[in-house]
Amino acid sequence: MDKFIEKFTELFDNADIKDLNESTHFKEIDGWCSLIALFLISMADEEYNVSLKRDDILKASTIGDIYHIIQNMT
Amino acid sequence: MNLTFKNKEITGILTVLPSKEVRFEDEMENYPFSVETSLKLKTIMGFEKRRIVEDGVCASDLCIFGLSYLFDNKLLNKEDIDALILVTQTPDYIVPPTSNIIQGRFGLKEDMICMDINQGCTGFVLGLMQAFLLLDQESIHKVVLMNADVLSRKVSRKDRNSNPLIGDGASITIVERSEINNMIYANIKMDGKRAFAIHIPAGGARKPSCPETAIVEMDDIGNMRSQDNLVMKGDEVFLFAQKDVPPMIVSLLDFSNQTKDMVDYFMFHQPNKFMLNKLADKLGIPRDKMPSNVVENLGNSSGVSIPISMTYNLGNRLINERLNLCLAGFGAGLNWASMILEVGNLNFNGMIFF
Repeated sequence: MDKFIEKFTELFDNADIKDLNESTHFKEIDGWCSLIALFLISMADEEYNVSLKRDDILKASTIGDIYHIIQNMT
Repeated sequence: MNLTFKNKEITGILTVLPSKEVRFEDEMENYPFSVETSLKLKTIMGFEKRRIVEDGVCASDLCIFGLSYLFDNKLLNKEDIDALILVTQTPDYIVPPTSNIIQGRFGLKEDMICMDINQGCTGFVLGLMQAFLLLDQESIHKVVLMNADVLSRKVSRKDRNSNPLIGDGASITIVERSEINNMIYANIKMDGKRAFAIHIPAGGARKPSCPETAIVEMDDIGNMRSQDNLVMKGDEVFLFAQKDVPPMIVSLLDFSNQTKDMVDYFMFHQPNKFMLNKLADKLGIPRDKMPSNVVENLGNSSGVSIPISMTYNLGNRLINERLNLCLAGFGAGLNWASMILEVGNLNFNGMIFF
């Protein structure tokens, strides 16, 4: 989970975005947009070899939710 | 599916781009992006400037303009054209074929083949395949392959998935028999199970256009479009390119007994900068060997983007040298197609503006 949070934080490429945790509501993070969603889909493919869909992201609320979706797909 | 072709070559390429240029900054109000996001999109995706046609301009207009240029400059003779192929997803009419309209406009001979092919981003590779196949016939010596699309007319101005990068254009590629015993290798795959990942719902027989199909509605992420407009499942298409294209290139290199280093340039379809940079990284190819600058300068014109990239990026080099190129198109179908061939010593390789 820690490694995932680290990778998730990197998506924003912004030093002000830190201290994220599994209960963070990611859609409320300053800068969250469909481009970051695309980066997330790319990261899930590259790091975890899973095909995350836009629907999966729409249904999830927290970083933990995304993590569990990815875990279930592996 | 692996294919090989022998003794065929491209002898000239002309691309036709609309004069009208649209800048991302001027259309930003159409999309609910924050300033920060907009700036990111500019650099990462390549949303900058693109070329689109004026209202009412059709694929045949761009092709006729290009052919006239070639005829006027004695770069092509009407009598020599044995086949006219037009690859397009935006024909002038459903009936008659647009290639016949072009044939008629110039009074080309009757003893020839005219063919419209409905393909999108794989259109250049598939068009070349068709040209090569035709050239196996004794009576066919010169094929004029045209790729043309005016997709900007089918994309909603308020669709932030597609509008910021869509472009229009046409290309005319002369393909002939060759004395050089070069071997051309291709690999083509198609997956109809994902057919609707890139889709225009209305306008065909299944759902004819009517006042109802023109109603603009919001989708679940805030984009506005009607059923007459192009709709792309961005995440599916992105993953498709990332997962399916690299293994095809690896397989093609293997089939042709070549390594990545033996290829001078990877001239891929230009969807957006981000996708191409990711593909280059995945394939372990230096980014400067896979040009990704067409979208930010001219837009993504579907199947035409490969020949546009060739004229825009390799201009005089393809006239003076011979380069080993790997072409790859991926998109509507969902189809993906790649080809390795030497291209060079062209009679012409340039760009004109409509």
